[in-house]
Amino acid sequence: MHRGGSFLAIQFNHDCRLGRLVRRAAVLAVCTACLPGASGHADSAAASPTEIGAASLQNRLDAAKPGEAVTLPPGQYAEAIVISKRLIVQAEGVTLTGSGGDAPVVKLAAEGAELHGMAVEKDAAGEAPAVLISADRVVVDGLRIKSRSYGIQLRKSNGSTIRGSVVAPTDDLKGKSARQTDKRNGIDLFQSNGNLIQENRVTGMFDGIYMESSHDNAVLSNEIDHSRYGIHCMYTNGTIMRRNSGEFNVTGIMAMIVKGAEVTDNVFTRQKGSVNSQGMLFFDVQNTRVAGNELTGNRVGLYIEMSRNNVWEHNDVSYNFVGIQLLDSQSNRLENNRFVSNVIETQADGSKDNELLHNYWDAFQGLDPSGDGISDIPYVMNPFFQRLTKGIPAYQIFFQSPGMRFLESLFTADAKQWTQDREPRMEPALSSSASTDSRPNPWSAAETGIAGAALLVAALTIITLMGVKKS
Amino acid sequence: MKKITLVLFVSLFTILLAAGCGKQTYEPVPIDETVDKCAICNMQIKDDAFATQLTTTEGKTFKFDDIGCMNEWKEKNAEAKIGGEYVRDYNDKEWIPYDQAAYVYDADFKSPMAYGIYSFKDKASAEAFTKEQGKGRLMTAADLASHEWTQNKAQMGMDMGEGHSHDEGGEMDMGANAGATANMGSDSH
Repeated sequence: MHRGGSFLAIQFNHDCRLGRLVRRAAVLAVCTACLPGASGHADSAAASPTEIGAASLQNRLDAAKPGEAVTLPPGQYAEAIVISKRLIVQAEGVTLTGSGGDAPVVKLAAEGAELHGMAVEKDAAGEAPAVLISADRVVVDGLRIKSRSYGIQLRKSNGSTIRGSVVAPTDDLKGKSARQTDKRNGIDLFQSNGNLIQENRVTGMFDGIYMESSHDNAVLSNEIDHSRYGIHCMYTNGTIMRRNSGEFNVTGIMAMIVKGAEVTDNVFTRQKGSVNSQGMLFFDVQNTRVAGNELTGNRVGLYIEMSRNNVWEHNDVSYNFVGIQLLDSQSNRLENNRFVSNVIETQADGSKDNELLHNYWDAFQGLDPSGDGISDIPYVMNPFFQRLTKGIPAYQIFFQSPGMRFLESLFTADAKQWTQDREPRMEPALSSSASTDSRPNPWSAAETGIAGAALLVAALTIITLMGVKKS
Repeated sequence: MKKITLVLFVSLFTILLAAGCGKQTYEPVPIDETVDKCAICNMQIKDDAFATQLTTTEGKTFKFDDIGCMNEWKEKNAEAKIGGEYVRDYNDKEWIPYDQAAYVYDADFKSPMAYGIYSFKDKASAEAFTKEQGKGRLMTAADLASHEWTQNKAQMGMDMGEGHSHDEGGEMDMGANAGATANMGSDSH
């Protein structure tokens, strides 16, 4: 009997490892698919060694007239370039490594200049980016950037487009051992307005997309992973963040001192590596609409502090440790959100005059005698535990302890002021945005299948090899 | 017998006296980038020259990612008794007591929360920095008490655009800026 038990344990471990291997292999495959240039430009460099030392790329650019399209010959070049007139530069197969030192490898300094398909590597640490955009209406498309400092920087650039590019750090800055102080942002905007940042992938940088004092930018369909903050807004107006996704960042979207933003249909899962992880954090945010987002498996789904006059609706906040934290925030509306299988659904304190209506809280036992799908008893959030643990975080160990429940029930004198959902739903609302609800998870089925098959194989192997011991 | 009691009494008194006189010191603690977050703005704290910290006489330490956040904490917790308060030298990241550091402010200086204040261990290195940058106003801890704590220029410009664009012309820029500054202050509390 006893031996059978330990066999089972071994077999289970074995299976876990197998599953992880399979997953890792899949991730690797996806990564290589994402970075076609990673293997591509090494080959092209070998194929055309004569390009090195020939007429420099800068000479070619200098010879071209404004408005011209210039196609650069593929190869690897140890030089830095400046595009200082309106050129359309095609650079597929070109790898630029800079001339050493902490200076931008590519500078786009002319209005309307375009750069397509170049691989840019900046190996020098410091504060200069791999690609610096300092003019209006610049287009960069399909760049592959590997940088020891910033990826792409926009400085006082308006109406530019950054599309389909990949930003990653040098290998030594990847992984958990890398110090945050050594990392820099992937795409970094400062005093740059009305830009479009679309379909880029940022991995392992400091902040994926960082916008400071930059307004009316559209951040659409980007993917950010293993960075500190996926999208980080500081003092921005009218930012649109739509259909972005991310995982394994410290926080998915970090909105700080933000006005009039739109945050819709983003998917941020598994932000849980750091003890301070959140799906989305809103600090001093006003007049912003947050809708149709999917926040699952994070440490905290939605963290909201000192924010006013915002709307959160049709968000799916599930499988997080804490669903929503609402602190010192007024006049917000939270409607038709779903809170499913969070360990702690809500922690709210110091928040008055917020309108919470028609949300679905799966841990809540409602009563619906009228049969309209809306509970007649409100969902009330007791701030006692939040207050206690804010003062002394170590008291979190008393989470859900019988004594804590008892104490919570004692301090109800100011219950009228607590945050509450007056009309919670009995069933989750149908999501208004199609993209969040109908999104199938292609992995779960395959993963389950692989795990099952592995389990079967492992079991059969053990039985055939060890045999069944008769007692 | 009596002598022994007297000796005991005197020695006890001496010990108590010594304990009473010994001043409790509040040393700076290191920053742990994986765990520490700003007590005001919730951002992860980088182990860099902008990190600040204070310890209350109760022995609780609060860390901040920008000196401006520490200032806000002090305003919010005016009743708190602060035992030790530290900022960092911009050049070598050494912890320096808040009131002994030299400060340099310019709206264009970048800092995590854009308060634009850098700290230095002495006046000489602060002066060297302003010379190198070609801008920056030299300040002491006492000057910081009357500092307006605005967050960077572009933000002020932004508020100005919203609140004043209809009723004020371009030549009123300076006045509009000042108005926006006041708004900012009241907004954040």
